[in-house]
Amino acid sequence: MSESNKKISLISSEGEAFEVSEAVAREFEIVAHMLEDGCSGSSIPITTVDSNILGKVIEYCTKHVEVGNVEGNSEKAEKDLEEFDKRFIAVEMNTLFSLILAANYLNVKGLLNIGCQKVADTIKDMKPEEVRSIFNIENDYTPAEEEVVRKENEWAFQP
Amino acid sequence: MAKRRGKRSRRQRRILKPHRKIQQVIEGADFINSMPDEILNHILSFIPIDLAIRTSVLSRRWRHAWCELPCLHLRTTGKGIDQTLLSYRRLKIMSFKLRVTHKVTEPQFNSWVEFAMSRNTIVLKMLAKLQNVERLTFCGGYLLQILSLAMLCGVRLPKLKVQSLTVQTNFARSVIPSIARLLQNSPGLKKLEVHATYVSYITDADLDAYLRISQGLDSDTCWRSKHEVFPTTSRMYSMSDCNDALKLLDSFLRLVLRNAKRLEKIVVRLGDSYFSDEQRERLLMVGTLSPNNNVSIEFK
Repeated sequence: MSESNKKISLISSEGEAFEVSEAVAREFEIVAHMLEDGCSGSSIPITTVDSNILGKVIEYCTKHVEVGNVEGNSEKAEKDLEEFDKRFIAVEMNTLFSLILAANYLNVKGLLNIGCQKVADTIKDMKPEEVRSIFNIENDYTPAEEEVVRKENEWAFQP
Repeated sequence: MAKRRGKRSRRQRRILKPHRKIQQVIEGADFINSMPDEILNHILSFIPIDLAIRTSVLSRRWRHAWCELPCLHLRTTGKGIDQTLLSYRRLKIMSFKLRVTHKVTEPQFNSWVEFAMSRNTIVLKMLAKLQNVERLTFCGGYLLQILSLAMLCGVRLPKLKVQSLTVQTNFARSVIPSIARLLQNSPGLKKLEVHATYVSYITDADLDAYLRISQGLDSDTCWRSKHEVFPTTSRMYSMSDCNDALKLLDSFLRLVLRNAKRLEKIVVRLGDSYFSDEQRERLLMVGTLSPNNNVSIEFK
């Protein structure tokens, strides 16, 4: 763990620099791969993610690295982390989507999972009309087509 | 050196070029439609399949989204499975989970058996689709009982590539033939997880009646001859909470070891309905019941 003191700057789309430890930066698999490929520069531009979202992703990774480093009492640590994840992901929809896209792009698997799980939990018990309105999905079926699709999987629509 | 650096920075530019889709979201446009398909799939994989299928009416893009899921988690009875498998397109399912938990009533039983025994038997279709699955989970007893029944009626199970199999089951005599066959037909199986617990089941009386009336088979010779150590459904729970439960577990593990040659690990979750607290503690302390150097047995 001798390299863990090394700092790396992640630059957001607005050009703001976030200084993090290498261990945290490596939680972004895309960064880890770059480091392994020999991109040893100390600042890495993440031009697709804005400061607000990048800050949050870093917060997530920092917490997970911290907890991962603590030895012993793993059950309690796991619980704490679960609590943290729950609070962390309780954000409004557009933040949630931006986080998912950023996690997907930066390849932060844990964050991608809890983000997708959160969306899944949200839409699971909703009527299609509600899902459409929350996610801004345009219904491009004609009423007749929609009826066909409903018929096709009729059993799934039965309560 | 300069050349190498040039290469590197090109790579860096390629990886980090602005992501149009992220920009769109940030601008607040149609979020979920701007998600790449892989994320859509990922989201749907957290939803039980019948609810995921409902998303097919959202818009054209969603119509077949659920058919491409890498994991298929069903919690339904006959007809639903049938239609789901007919529409499901993805050739390689990575994980399959079937959960049937509610108590079965007689008409439901009939529809299950009908479903299992119909001419182009759906069970076979399902197993054919499951051939490449790596992780397979069966929660609840019905499917195992139906599989046993299907095998008695001449249905042949295909070879499976499953590496990790989870069954939540009781130790009723009628589930044993299908478990044995699943193990025999899964030569690559490395890990078996057994949740030994109370599950809903079809009573032996119903199964026997079906065999006698529809198939002209004598249930005594069908079930009892080979698996006498395992109890009928009516005796099943009188064996719990006493020494018989441990004997049963021992017989079951022996059966597993006989039928799964390449197995590396067995995890047994000791459910309340079979084992007393004392027994559970003893098992957790003692560890392996049937020592076999190649297989580790863990109790939870």
